Amino acid sequence: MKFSIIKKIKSKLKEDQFCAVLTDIESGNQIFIDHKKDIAEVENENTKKHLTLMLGAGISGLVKESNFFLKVYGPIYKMILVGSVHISQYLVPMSKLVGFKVIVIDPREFFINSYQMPDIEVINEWPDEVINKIGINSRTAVITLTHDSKLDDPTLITALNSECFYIGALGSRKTHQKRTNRLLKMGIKPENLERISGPVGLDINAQSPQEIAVSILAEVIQKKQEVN
Amino acid sequence: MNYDELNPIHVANGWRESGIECALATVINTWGSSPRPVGSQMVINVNGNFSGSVSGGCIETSVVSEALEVIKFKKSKMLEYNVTNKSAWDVGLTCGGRVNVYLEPIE
Repeated sequence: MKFSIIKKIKSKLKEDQFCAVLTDIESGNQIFIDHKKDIAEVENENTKKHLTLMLGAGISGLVKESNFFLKVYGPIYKMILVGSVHISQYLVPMSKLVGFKVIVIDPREFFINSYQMPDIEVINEWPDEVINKIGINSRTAVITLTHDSKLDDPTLITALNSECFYIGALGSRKTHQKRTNRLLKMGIKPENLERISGPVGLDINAQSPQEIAVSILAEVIQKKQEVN
Repeated sequence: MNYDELNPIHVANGWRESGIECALATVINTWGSSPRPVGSQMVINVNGNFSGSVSGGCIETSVVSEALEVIKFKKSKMLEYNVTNKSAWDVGLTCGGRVNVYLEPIE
């Protein structure tokens, strides 16, 4: 691989963008793919079709009926947490270890000061406004942890209007039922509401904030793999 | 720890910027119980240092020595590893898989 291609991949990853490298494993020739139009030089129409599908789904692998190998490079997985709460104190370091870039948003200064977290700067603003600035892509998980509908609901609506791969909302079955009713009244379609995992996390009978953090992270990982 | 810094592409970029020659190994095909999925990458430099992985530690030693050749001769190479039952010192995938690794110099 040319060093110049490595540099191109690096700058795409820095911008949170997808890109790919197509290698002819017989000759070693390579093409850097930034946009779909970059596959124009591939001669075989069938190969082009397979490539388009793989690029669309973000899948790396050997391209059927050809000598090509496609490697897709994508942005780092992000986890947006709304709520600087007790669970966040554990969910943040765990998720960072697993490889997520974690962002915590909470407009309530009192919570930020009470539940301090090392190595992370909590964004002290209204979540729905900030989230649009941060940007949600297909490698983003959004989780609400405040139990406060003023903060959680607008966040969930923003997430539902995006292509994020995971949406979770903390709260009991009853709380989730109430939340679902509110969102329905706000015009969210029932089939869209199914995207929200509530109560959040895998059912491992988690009790403590640490355990709940494990169950949330486990469900995020499960969903990430399903999408892939 | 910033996970992103451990991305083999960033590591390779850093090495090349410091003038250190290196090679890139990519899993391009797997059969059976292969530890790492297609697309997994590892970078190896001329001093034998490496980052990332293409298996669960089963074949990395062999990939590193092959990489030193690839860096020396500046020629890409396809490696194939199978299951081994002979001895623990053999290079192979103990879990019973087969994997193809594409090794290329970063020039």
